[in-house]
This record gives sequence, structure tokens and C-alpha cells, in this order.
Amino acid sequence: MIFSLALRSLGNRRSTALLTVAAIAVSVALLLGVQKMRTAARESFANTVSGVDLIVGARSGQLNLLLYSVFRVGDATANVSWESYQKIARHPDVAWTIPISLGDSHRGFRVLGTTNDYFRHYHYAGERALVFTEGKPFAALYDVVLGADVARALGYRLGSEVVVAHGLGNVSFALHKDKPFRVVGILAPTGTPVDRTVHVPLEAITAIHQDFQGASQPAIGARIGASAAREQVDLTPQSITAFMVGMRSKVMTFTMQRAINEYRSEPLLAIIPGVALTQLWNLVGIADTALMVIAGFVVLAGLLGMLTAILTSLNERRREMAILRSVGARPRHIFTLLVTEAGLLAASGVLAGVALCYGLLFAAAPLLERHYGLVLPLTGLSTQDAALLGAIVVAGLFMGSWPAWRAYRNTLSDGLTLRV
Amino acid sequence: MPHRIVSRLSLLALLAMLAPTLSVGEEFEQHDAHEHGRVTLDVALEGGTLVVEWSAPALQVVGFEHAPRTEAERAALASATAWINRGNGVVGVPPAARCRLRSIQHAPPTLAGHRDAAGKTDHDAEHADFRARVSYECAAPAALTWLEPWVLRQLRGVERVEINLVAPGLQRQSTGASAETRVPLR
Repeated sequence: MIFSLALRSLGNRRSTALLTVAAIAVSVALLLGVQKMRTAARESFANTVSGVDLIVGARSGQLNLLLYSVFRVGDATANVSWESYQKIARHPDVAWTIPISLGDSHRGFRVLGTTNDYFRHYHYAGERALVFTEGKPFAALYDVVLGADVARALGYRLGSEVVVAHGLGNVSFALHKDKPFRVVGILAPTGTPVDRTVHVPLEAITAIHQDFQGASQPAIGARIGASAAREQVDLTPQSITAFMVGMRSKVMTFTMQRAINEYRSEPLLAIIPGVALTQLWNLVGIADTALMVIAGFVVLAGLLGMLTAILTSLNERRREMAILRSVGARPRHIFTLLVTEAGLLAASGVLAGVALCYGLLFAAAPLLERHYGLVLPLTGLSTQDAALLGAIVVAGLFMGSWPAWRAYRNTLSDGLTLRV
Repeated sequence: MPHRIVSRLSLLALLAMLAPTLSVGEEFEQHDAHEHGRVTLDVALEGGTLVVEWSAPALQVVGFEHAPRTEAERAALASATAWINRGNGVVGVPPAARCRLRSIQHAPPTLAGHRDAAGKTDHDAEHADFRARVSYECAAPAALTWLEPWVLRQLRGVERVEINLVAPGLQRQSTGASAETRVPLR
């Protein structure tokens, strides 16, 4: 009864009601969006690498090493010598290693020099291994394996020729044109930076740089051609950017980490990816919380807008209330009516906000994935989200009780003789 | 110099095992970041094996970082060393996991003013850390769901605690725990 009265009363003031709902909807969409992005970003980062016990690079900072080795963000301060890498890789407690050599690019995508161990041991999102949609791992020096996004964005297929540029620019003047690579494999999408990486054999990185040793001038004698580079030159790299380590036993992880951090021949740093990631969240957490607080205040502003709309309407509706009283409504009915009205506005605002948020996420997901590698899974509302939204409706009801109280007082004193 | 390298590396028997394979001719020395009030707990878990390695500045363990000068300081050092070697009360775990202490590895820190065999004072060791590695074997590892860092009860003036956790499918760091805070192991 009261519910339908509230609905009809709102219907009578359609435009104000709709605007109020819209204000709440926008604020709720913002709050929910921030919440969703925050969890998606965390999951995306946490899912990028798994099963790697240690990442070893030149001694810098934990976060720096994690960001450049796994997320391809930023650059290495220095490299790791091949001798040190070999020494650690051969240690009896080490099960496997994945060497990583960064620094070149191909049409805006990072080139990563590695070995076939990368395809064997690299895992993401728990236990998922890299899968080839087409082709196979490296077999020859100038083979290249593409991430899913690279293949899609550049339209490459198996057998396509790829020219690697020196440096990281989108358009680089130092192209290694004399040594073209051939696509032998394309990886399935992973939702991690692997998708945007061009993988080449470690030795190929050395080979394409043979010409660049010393200055940018070729070495004395003939230029090293593609075939000669393969046959005549020792292509063992002198250094690599970083490497990932899998231990035989997790129990030895900290011991190995300390041994590497105290290694006296070269300043190296070993990090545990999950631990470094926790530190990253501690850092990002401040900005995160700030965003949530801002979004919370925007919701509060939306609810205050609703309160203003109901309060200002009270005077116009004195006659409506008086008529309701004359047909037998008690003051408490008037109170309930107004609270119900506020509840309806808040609830529809929340529903519209959820719809708006999902609509926006759905529209923005492909863009975010392409440009930032951030995968936004369209998951349902978590219990935390639901609790948050419920709290907004309850807050709306509470806010509605103020105008309801005033209307209640008015109806006690106003008679039908009221002149508006 | 080589004497100190060896003494430091022998802090842990396993480290000492690593030392010959991981060191070559040219060497440099880098000093650990030493932060008073900061305690680290490295917890590794695999199968029924639980390894807890803790390190804390001597200031937090005995209240000073120089060689003991007074009787009271000597007693504090002796009782701390005895406690560490007993291996009791380092962590608390669910009794249902039925964990038994298996081994303790610990070597006392080099405290400044300490005279080595040649009678030379070690000035570099102005800061000293206690570090111990305690291994447990648990009969029912499935019940091993949490851990309490009881070692904090033995330490004084702790301002920051970092608990690094490694287990199959899990890598995490927790901070700010107290001795009674349960750190989930799952």
C-alpha cells in the first residue's frame, strides 16, 4: 500500500526523481568501478608469474627488479654476468632457471632473449603453462616466438619475417635488417605481459649485436652475415638482464636467496616474486585507499543530493500529506511513506549504478587489455561489493528519515485548512 | 679478512656449504642493511618440513651490540644464546600438526670490541645480528594452517616485523604481527 503510494508519488515528480537516481547511479558506478579495477589490477599482477621461486638480477631494489623482469616496466640498472648465472644455475639446489635478456624492441613490442626453458617452466595464474596455438619453440638461431597480442596486432603468421630494432623506441634507426627472424611459434593469450613480448633465442640477441660491439661501426673485417654469425662466432652471451630460478625444494628458497644476496663476486639481488609483490601493494595501497575514500565521498554527495531533493519537495507536498491524513493516514504512515521513497530512490540508484558500471567495464575491457595488459574479468558482485551496495541503500534510508521526521511533525500540526 | 668471511658464512651450515661454490677470486664486501627494531622471520614450508629462520639486531635480543663489558651483559648474552640453542618458543603452530624440532643452526654474532686470534679489534662489526634457523618435522602437515611468531616475546624494542612466507603455490609477506597474531599458512 505505502510502497505503491511512494511509487506513484515519485512518478508524479518524475524528472526530479530520475535526476536523483542518476546522481546516485553515477556515484555508485564510480565506487564499484574503483573497487573492481583495484581487485582486477591485483589479480592481474598476482597472476602474471607463478611457480618462480626467485628472480635474480643486478643489485638494485626489489620492486625495480620485479617490475622490469616480469612486467616489462622500467629498465635494468645493470646486467648479470654469464659466469654468475652459470654458477647459480648449476647449483645442486636449483631445479631450473630461465635466463632473460631485454633491451631490444620490435615495432613497439619488447624483445626478450631466452631459452626453451622459458616455455617449459614459466607459469601464470596458478598452474597454467604457456601453450602454443601455432608452431613450436625455438629450433634455430633466428627463430622467434610471438605473444598473442603481438601476432594479432602486427598480423604475423608462422613463417613471417621479423626485423628486430636496437633499443626500445617505436621507430628505431638502428634496425638489425641484415639478420631477419622467422616466426616459428605463436603463444595462446595469457592476459600477462607475455602476450606483448617477442621471444627470441638468447644467442640471437648476441648475434644481432655482434655488429654493434664497440661503437656502432662493424668490426674490422667483413660484416658478420646471418649465416656467418651462426657458424663462426661464439654466441654465448657475456651477460643477461636477469634470470628466474625454480628450486628443488621450497625450503631452500631463503637460503639460496641469502647466498645470492651475499654473493661476493658480483652485486646480485635475489627476490621472491610474491614477497616483492606484497611490498608493491603496500606502496600502491595508499593511493588505492585514497581512491576509495574519494569514491565514497562521491556516493555521499549523491545521497545528499537525494536528501536535498526530498527536503525541498516537502513544502510543495504539504497538501498531499494533508489529503493523505484526511483519508485516514496516520502520521507514522506519512513517515514510512517518505522513508520508503528515499529507500526506493537509493535502491534504484544503486541498481542503475551497477548496470552502468558493468556497461562501462564491458566497453572498456578490450581497450584496457590492449593498452595496459590489464585483464578485467566480468565477475559478479563479490560479497564485499554487495555489502557496500547494501550499506548505501541503508544510508539512503537513514537520510530519508530526516525529511520523514519533518513531514511527520508537519502533519501533526497542519490541518486541512492549510494554505500553501 | 678471510677469517671473517668464513666466520660469517658459517652462520648457517648450509650457507657454508654454498660458500665454496659461490665465491671466486675477486671479491668485494657489502654490508647488510641493519635496522634497529626490525625483525625478519623467513618461513618455508614443504611437505612435512617447516623451516623458520629469524634474524634480529643484537640490540633487540640482548640489549647491546658491543662485546659484553659487565657481568650483567655477559649473563644476558649467555641466557640469550642458551635460549636460541634450545630452539624453544620460536613459533607456535597448531598442536594437531604434531611438529617436532629437528635441528637448530645458529652462530653468535660478532660483537664489536671482540678480539680475534691475532689480537686485532674488529671495528667493522659495529652492528651485529642474531640469526637462527630452526627446522621442524610435522607428522600431520595438513593441520599446519597457521603460525604464531613467539620469538617476538623474547625480543625487546621491536618496531617492525616482516614475515616472509614460502610454500608450494604461496609466496607472501606479512608485516606488523605480534607474538599472538596468527599468520595463515594457506
